[in-house]
Amino acid sequence: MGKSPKQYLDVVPYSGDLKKLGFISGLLILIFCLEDLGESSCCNCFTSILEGLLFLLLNMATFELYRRSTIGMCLTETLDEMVSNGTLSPELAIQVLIQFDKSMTEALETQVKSKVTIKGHLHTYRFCDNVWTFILQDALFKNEECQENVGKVKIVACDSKLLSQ
Amino acid sequence: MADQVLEGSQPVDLAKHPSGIVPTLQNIVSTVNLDCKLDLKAIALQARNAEYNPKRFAAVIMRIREPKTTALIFASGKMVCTGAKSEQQSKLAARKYARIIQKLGFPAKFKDFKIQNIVGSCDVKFPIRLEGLAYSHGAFSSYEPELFPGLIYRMKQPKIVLLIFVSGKIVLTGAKVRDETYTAFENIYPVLTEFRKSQQ
Repeated sequence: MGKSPKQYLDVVPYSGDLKKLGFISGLLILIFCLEDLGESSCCNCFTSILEGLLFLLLNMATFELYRRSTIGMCLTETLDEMVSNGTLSPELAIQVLIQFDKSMTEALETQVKSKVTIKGHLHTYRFCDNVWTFILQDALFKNEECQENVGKVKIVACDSKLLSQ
Repeated sequence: MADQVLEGSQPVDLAKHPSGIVPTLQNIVSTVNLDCKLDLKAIALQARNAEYNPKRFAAVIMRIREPKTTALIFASGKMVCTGAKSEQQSKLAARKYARIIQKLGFPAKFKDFKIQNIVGSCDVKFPIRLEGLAYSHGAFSSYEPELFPGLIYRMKQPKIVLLIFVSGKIVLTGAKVRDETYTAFENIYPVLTEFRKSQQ
């Protein structure tokens, strides 16, 4: 594969609804609930337990959204195949996926220097549960080497600060 | 003056606008009661062009392109519509938002629609001596160039606030009906000509 923008961004050609976000939003809501409790609670002991729990949760937290990228889909398919013919246990497959989430986040943060600009007509936007969704029409993807036109594209983005807060 | 009268497509009604200038309406804010409790999260998830961040603000922010407006939709069923350029456009936009809410399955009504504010602006096309104006109309004026470059003129009748800039650009706000904007401008216009800056 060449250095198409798809590799670097979670850009999924628009195809119906994205259902994978349930887990993320649920997790973030949980984190916020804990924070709110922590701020208002006068019981220090309770607060510190909550903080410990929060710390644990945050250390485990990763976004699952890269599973929908080309590389993530390929990995999922391969794992599915290996589980169904018995070469891999389902537990291990899930572990691999969780590691994939972590590695993807880390790799995009530390190893990717290339920048992509996306320009297009904003058909629809949404912000709900800390997730931005944009549907662009006639979008132009540009990086240093190449550019590509896409008729319709859906961008799903979460704030990575939410993971490290 | 003559070219100002001829400005625009239709001639200005000089009986109503003796100055020959008609302030342009820039923003209309209206409110309406949809008269049903709303599940904001469900709305944000289903409707297009919606933002909902309850940690920041307790309303769904929704936009439509025609008329180009923004609505704030609250869980109580009350709604604020901003950005329209005329009263009719504001009402039309509010109706469109109500229709969107209805289509999402809420029994939305359209109660107590009201225009809350009208903002207009115009240009008298001559510079103004703000200090002089502030001094002679001290009771109504507040001019603190270190804080804000415009003179804030709080007219009592009609109750309109005007921002007057050295450049001759005027902003009028606080009107509930457009005639208040027009009257306020006709009231201030002779004062502005009195304090016209003579160019060296």
